[in-house]
Amino acid sequence: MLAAEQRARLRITAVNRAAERAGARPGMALTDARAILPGLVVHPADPAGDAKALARLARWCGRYSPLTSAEDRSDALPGETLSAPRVEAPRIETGGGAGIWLDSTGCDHLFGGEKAMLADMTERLDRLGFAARAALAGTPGCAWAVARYTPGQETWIVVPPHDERAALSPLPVAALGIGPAMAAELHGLGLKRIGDVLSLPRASLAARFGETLRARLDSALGENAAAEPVSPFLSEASLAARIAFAEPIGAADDIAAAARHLLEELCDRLERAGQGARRLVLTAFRPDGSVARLAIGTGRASRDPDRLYRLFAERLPEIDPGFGIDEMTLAAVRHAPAGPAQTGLGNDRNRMESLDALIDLLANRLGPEAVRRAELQESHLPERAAGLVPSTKTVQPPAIAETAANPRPVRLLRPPEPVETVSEEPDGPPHLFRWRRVLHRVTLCEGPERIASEWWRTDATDDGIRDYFRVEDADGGRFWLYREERGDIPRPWFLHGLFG
Amino acid sequence: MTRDIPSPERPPSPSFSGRTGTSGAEDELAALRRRIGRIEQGFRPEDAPAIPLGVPDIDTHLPTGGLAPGALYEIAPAAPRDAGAATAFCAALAARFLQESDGTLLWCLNPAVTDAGEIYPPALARFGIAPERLVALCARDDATILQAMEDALASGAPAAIVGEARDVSLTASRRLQLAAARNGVTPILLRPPAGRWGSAERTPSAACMRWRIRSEPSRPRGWAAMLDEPGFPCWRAALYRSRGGAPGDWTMEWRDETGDLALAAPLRDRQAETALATA
Repeated sequence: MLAAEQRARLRITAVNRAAERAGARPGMALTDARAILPGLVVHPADPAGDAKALARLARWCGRYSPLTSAEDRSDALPGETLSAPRVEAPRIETGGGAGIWLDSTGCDHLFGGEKAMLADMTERLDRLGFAARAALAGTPGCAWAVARYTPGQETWIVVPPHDERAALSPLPVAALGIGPAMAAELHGLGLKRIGDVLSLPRASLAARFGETLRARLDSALGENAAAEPVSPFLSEASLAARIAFAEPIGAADDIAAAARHLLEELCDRLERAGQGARRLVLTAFRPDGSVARLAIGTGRASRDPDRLYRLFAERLPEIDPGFGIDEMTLAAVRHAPAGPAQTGLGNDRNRMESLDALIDLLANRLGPEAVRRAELQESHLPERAAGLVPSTKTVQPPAIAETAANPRPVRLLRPPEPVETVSEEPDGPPHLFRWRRVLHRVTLCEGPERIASEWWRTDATDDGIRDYFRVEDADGGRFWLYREERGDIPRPWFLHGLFG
Repeated sequence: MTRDIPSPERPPSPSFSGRTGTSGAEDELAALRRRIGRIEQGFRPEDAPAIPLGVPDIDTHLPTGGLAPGALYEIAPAAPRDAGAATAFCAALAARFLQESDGTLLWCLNPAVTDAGEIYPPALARFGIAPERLVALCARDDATILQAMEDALASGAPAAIVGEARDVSLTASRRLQLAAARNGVTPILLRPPAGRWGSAERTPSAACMRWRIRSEPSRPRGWAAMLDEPGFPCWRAALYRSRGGAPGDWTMEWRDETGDLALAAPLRDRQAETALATA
């Protein structure tokens, strides 16, 4: 049993089955519980640790569906609200503990149907030491209510499609997730079951209890389609492949073969969907419930198993098999429409494809930041006008007209480096300058080219005007120097780049 | 399928094939045979015509009559301050291979080698490398750069690769040379300036040409001369090692309007005098 300090009193936050049977309830003061059960074992609650464990468990559930999430604990769960139930309120059954959402659309067939999937899920959770109940329904609200409030000891329940109303009717109103205060109010009116509420006209309910109740009912019944779509990622979930092993595997070759098999299956599925993968996540599940993940990205949507496998092959050793892997899944978490596979003879096309493959290979090995493409932007400031951006970013078609007008250095220092200068005239270009401890005597000079910063940009840190000079020293070095002017204050000189 | 094409049917030197006066059909047939041969046996550097650098004096000096694709080149600035000149020369050289095959340039940047900032795409465009044809790779150590270069060579995807690397052993350079010859992609090593980390020039290399680039005072003409403004980029390029050829030393100029290299005129006296006077 867990307790935590709430409102200056130690209150119970969670109880196990035995304590529950004896009458202890979450929300009870610890002293009251002790009065009922003198032999109570109390541990301090650790909400942060719980949240972490729940997130880990949600990741573990990734073996069933790529879309899982831990339930947000700030949701008003009847058994876990901070306010204790009012004394006169009828006893409200607690709706269980923490929850995990799974969007299993399109996933059940991998496990031999919905029932088999739920059975497998609860059995595995039981083996991991969790008391869990799974419910599968057409709407999240219905699944939530059925999982938490259906009486009985079944560990999993499947609500047949379009049967939500029948499944919900016998459940207590608290199963709508409306909070204890409203549940108590409904009880006060004699509305104890959801069925009672459903028999009333919706409009008068909304007038009496506000939008919350109506929204909850809609969500549970899936009646107002706009309220809560069942799955915004309908096709996403189905673009996954799964493989389970009778015996846990650990050898690198076995893992590679399994990855290859998954890729072929997934690419098949991608082809049928007319999609190409942009980001793939390979997940390996170990029998102890821990999970290893490997993600790869591609610059262009692809469903070529050979090419994708090459990206995985380099990084497969990163997967630590531990004491063995008993299951692996591969999901295309990001994908984009892709045309039929190219088998043309065109040389250019082959070269473009091999260039894409090369970029992906290097980006996956060295990180997406390492591979870059040139980007030209419409900006006056040279450091903003052009640069190298990660190749994963879509590069704008360059507007080259402006940049071609004046000579620009082949090497641009980022940031510019300060130089010491000596000038013949107070405002003139330098006669001598020292950069990195070497003295340069200027013989030829062109300038100034005045470049004003963009006053319309809100993130512009320096709003000065720069005067750029292209200078050549006695040895033939060509440099790009500038001085920034801001009002009357003289500004130091900087070296911004080297010319060819 | 024959493994080899009988040599008599191959034109003596591909660079002359256009001028030998044979009929167009025969010419075309020879070109096709060459292509088939290349497909069958992989790329063979001796099949590919050398690409002229564009300066007749230098091209006739080079053993292949120009720059052979699918071979390793090496360029180093003479001093740290010449990083700009070496970068520009490197771009001009790479642009030759890009124009020939209409391909992409992979530039493997290593800040530890050049230490003079990033390459700046708008400026490279002046030397013949369009920004959309440029892919850059940022790494910090030689091993990564060399591995990436080998992968890029093996993929055959880019037309040329520039790799900035500090230490390249003879073995590493041989590997690059072999991979280049196999795939017809041209790698160019951009080395650190001589004398900074020991001399890169003294370590042996399998490169077919090794260049040392120093920036030279420009030769301003016309308005630029009157206003004492810098002229076209001007470099002293020393070919200190050339496989199968003699070393050479040229002062060349990059003509911005034509996008071409040319030998630079000797320094004019007036400028030398003013340089002396200010010194």
